[in-house]
Amino acid sequence: MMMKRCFVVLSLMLFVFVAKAQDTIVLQTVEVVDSPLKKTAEASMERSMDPSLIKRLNTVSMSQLLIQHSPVFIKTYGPGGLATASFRGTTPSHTLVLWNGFRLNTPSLGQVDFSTIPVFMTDNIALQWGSRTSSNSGGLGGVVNIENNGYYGDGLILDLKQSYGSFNSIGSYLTLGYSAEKCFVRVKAYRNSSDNDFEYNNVALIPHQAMRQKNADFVDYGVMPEAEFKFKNSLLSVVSWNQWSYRNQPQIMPNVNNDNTKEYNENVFSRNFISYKYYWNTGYLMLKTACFYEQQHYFLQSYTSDGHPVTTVNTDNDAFSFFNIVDLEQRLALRWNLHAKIQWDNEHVKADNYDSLKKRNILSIYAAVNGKLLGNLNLRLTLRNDIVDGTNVGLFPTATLSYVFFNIKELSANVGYSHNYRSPSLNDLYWTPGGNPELKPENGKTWDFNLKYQKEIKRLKIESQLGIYYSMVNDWIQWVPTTYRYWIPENVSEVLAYGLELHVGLDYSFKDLNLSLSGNYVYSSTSDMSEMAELQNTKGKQLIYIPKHHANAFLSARWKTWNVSYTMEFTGRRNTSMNDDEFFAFQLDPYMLHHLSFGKQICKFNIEARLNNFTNVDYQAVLWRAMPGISWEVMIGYKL
Amino acid sequence: MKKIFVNICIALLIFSALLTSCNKKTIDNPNYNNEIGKGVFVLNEGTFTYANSSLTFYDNVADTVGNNIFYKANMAPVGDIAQSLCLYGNSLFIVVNNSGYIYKVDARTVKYQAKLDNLNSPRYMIPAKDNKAYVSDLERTGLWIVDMNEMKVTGFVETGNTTDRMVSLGNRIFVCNWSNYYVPETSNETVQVIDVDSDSYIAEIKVSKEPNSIVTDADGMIWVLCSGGYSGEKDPALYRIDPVTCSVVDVFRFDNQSYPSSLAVDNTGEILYFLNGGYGTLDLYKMSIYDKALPDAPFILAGSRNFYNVSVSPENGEIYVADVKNYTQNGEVFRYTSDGDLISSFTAGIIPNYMLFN
Repeated sequence: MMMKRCFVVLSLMLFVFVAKAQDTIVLQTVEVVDSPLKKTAEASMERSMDPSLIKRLNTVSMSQLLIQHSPVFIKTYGPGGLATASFRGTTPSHTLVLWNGFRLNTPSLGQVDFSTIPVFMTDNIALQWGSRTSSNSGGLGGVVNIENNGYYGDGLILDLKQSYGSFNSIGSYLTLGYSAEKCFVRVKAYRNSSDNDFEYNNVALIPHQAMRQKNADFVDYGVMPEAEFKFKNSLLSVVSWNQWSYRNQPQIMPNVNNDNTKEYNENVFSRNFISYKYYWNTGYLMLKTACFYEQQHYFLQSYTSDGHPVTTVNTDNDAFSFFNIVDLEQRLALRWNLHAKIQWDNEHVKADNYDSLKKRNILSIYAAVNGKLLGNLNLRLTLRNDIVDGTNVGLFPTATLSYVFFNIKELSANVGYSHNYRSPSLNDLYWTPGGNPELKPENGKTWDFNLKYQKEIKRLKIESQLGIYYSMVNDWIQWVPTTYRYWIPENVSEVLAYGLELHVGLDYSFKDLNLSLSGNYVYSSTSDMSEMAELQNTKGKQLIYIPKHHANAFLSARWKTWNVSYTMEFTGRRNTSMNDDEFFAFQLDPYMLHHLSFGKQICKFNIEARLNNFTNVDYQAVLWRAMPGISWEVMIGYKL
Repeated sequence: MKKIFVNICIALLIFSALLTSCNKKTIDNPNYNNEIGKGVFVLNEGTFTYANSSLTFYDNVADTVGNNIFYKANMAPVGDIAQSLCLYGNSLFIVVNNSGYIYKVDARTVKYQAKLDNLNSPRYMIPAKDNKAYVSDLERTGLWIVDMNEMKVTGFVETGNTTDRMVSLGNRIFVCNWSNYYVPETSNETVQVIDVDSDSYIAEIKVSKEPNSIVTDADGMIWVLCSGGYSGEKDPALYRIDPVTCSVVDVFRFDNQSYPSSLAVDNTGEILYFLNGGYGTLDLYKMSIYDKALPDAPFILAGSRNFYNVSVSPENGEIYVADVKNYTQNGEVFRYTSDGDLISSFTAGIIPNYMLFN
């Protein structure tokens, strides 16, 4: 509590001090960072989040950004709760998350909690699919690629943000650094907390009653020092991302009247990397090494009515991961390019639920060539070979043909095939009881077709993208029950996922006015087609918690220093079990949320007010997990 | 430009106001008034932490089934991991393990009457005398004493071990100490005896690991089935116990790879049924209380079905076997004659487990 107060007071003091020192208007700089060797075929299998949107929403979590502005579906347990991503009809463990090229998916569970990634800690966010995911294993659905980038010659960097909102939600964000001609140094630090005691309608009690959420408070701290040095033909970067979070776990709705349990998660991580990039006219060589440490502590205790502990579950999971990457890009003759990568990963996990320290070594060799085949037709071929703990997992090829139309230059299309795999998580292999060391990797093949249209008509910019995919994942790992009454993971399912993603973006600027509209619609059909599913009469049924339809839309208007925006997110009906029954507990109703925001720039200050879920929709994202109704947030920022 | 921007702001505000006014909450009222007659309640435990437990009622005369009847009658879920049922007077008690409470509902309409909160991990409830019942608990070393009229905890019988399935015989309660997962220093290989008059623990009988089910027979003997531990390596066995002397009369040992569970007794008190098998499948076995050895062959083969629990009608000896399928979809209950002929089957909820004849 003391620490929290100090942080807020210090932030405010710094604010006032800086505010007095400066009073000129500075427009925010927007960097668009792109690799010089990124090719048409690659670009059409990727979508970068708008950098101005990232800057604007950098006090929210990545889960909120993705659900409101991308085709990725986020399954969230509520504010401060677990938020996992599902990409193109797959599960969270098939969404690979890369941070500057290093895997964030934890070795134990294989997935990423997006509520623990503040947008504030990132500079670029891109979604990748098809053969763009081929340089790493695991992204059978797709890749969320997060990057940090330095910039040069801007002098002192100072950016402060303080937010306060409903449920005593407090966020303090500080960026301090210096951007010289050949050197970039920056430290980001933040604290984010909320009592999270929102009011909701508990429909699991008899009779239904309005009540406050209990035991859902959380606090996160993070600090990220970065340094980048530019030499004649090279670049040296060092980044360290450190975070600590404490999250109380609220009871599910039916259980709220039981005051005899205490449950929380406490997570700490330190992710560090150093990279050296040597470049020349026609390519570059990059050497990267990283060391991640993650500790997850879970605590559950139940009490007697007079407060004496009855039972305690107190488990720790410590993971060390080391990554080493050699990356080469080289332009070849006849406008062909080569990208080659060798990566060696080493994972160590010590967990109370494993019988001993578990290790895994992965050696990966990857090559991609990309170039012009005929006229406007480009071809990209990739091949990867991975060796996991001395066992060759196999060869994984991808091929993509891309075409820019002769008569409509703004229109491009590509068609691709990719083959990839995902190793079982260490929990799948070694959890006691149940872990199955005999598991095979999951094996996924995807065919996709993408159309992209980009055009500028005077002041109007149009950007539109349509993606159609069809994928089959064999040996899909599923935890199945045994007669011993515990579950074990087996390679039993064969999951067929197909669907489409549509993105439309319009941007109109005239004098001081800027209007923009963007939207995503996703149709996703995902079902188990295995023999086991047929036997159990679940063949062809939509997998749980993956909606067939979801969509979002964003409308924004800016005039001089004023701005206003509206965001809509729609989540379709979701199954929570493999039944056709429309019993509420088996199918969650669709819902649509609406958010508003107003902002004003005054000198170097930026003031913003947000109204979330302003129609006060009563909904459940996960069965019997309470969600907040209407809430507000104000934010004041200062940027030098 | 300013005008356009202001107009956009106004349009957004009007749009927001419209959206807000459109958001009227509707509560689905199924107007459920069905009365329940003779038949069997099937409690579906549901998936852990999903709170998708449900209650099914099967009318065996009309061969009709009603699913989710608790939700339909009360517009609220049963809770998380509904464990067992208990009928007393005109009330039905639903013990909900991971929700830590017991619902009391009208046994004919399933309409809510009362609720007892703040138990730790309640498992089974057994009426003792007057309005007093005992409730076993997986996390507490003893039994809760509950007043079924008031739905209040009136005391606690400390036994030193966590408690699970129970039978009542005379003025004694016999309770299995099934698990020591949550309280590791305690026993998971005993049956304890409670005196109902004094609410005190009076004796202990040593059996194999994890006694998971207990019944009384026509001779007034107690039978206890032990799985031998969750990995199946620790001496699975069936015990016959003399309730008067509190001593083991007979032991029938299974081979080490067996995982026997769900012991049930028929309406005559002379035939026992239980599930047994190795990894993958549990078949249904049948034996007489007078048999000198365990049956060699299954009575009913599970085949591709995933048998989970067995119950026998106290009226006509018909056997009801719950198939939980893959644990994530609605299960099915198979109804057999005492000769093992299939009469019918009906769909229940997710993980049908406890069955109670009305």
